[in-house]
Amino acid sequence: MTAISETLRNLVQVLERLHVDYMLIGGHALPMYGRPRSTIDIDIAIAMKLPQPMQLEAELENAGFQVSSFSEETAYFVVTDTKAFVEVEVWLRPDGITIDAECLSRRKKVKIEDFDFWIIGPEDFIVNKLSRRDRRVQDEVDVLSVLRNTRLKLDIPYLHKIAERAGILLLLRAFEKKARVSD
Amino acid sequence: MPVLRVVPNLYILCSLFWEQRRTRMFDSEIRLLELCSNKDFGVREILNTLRGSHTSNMRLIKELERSGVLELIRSLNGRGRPKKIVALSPLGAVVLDKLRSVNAMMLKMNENDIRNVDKQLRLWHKLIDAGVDPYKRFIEMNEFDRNIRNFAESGTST
Repeated sequence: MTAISETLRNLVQVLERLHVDYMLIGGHALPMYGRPRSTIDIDIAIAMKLPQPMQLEAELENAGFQVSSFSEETAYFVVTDTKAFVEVEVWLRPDGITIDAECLSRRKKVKIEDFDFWIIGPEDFIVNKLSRRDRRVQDEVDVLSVLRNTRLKLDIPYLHKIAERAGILLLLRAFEKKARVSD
Repeated sequence: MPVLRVVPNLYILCSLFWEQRRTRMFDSEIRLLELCSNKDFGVREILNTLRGSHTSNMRLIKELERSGVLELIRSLNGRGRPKKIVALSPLGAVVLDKLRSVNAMMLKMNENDIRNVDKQLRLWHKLIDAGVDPYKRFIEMNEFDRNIRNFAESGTST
């Protein structure tokens, strides 16, 4: 098992033990829906409810992780597997999306190297990427690759609903048009 | 309220198109090579056609001649002083073709992409400091992604 898979498995075990809902987001979620690309960042979004933060921090440290300081207000914190030296950004407030029951129900369960984990749904993936405050051209390329994936059946009403909530509906429509034109 | 929402969206759209604009590179080189490939122009005709100062354009012609991209051929036709034709060499034809394709590429980068490269580089150095081979880590990351891709396509990982 690779260091990344082992770190992710250990992290997921801690989250599941504490009944914290999570999903893999960012560049490593892309191969599920679009054209994969290289990245060395790992991002996970979690649905945190009080009084879990303190407990989560303690459990992560017990499992061999080093945890950067965080509070309810923090957008994300960094968890480092001290053994394998793998850094994971754990998002409490991922840009543009709300980790509610609907978002969680749209996650996809993936099984690789004998362990299961959740990946963000395609519609939330798109809105998260387009809503990033530090949006890169690479994020836009990622979104286009998902929109152009003809094998993927997107729930357009849901996509537009969450895009409107995030205030990026007009931007999304421009990307939808771009994806259609350059097909 | 909807009006307030449209304004930032318009801003985002404008910045999107600005970022995605085609960035032209090697403009003067391409213009010069295009001219030479289209017609038998003499040095003076080229200098009069190109934008910019004669001195800088003459310097460019000489530079491209030195590197074997352009050839100055003496034309014996007509009366009077023989004219020097600026022609594209076989290498020049290849260079022009490559420059055209480079020019057609879109610049896929903004400030945030550059910041991200910097972030990845810092992570790269941290790995080296921790005694982890960054290249090995990179390969592992790719393997992880490939497994996700395989799962998405067939429902199983390799």
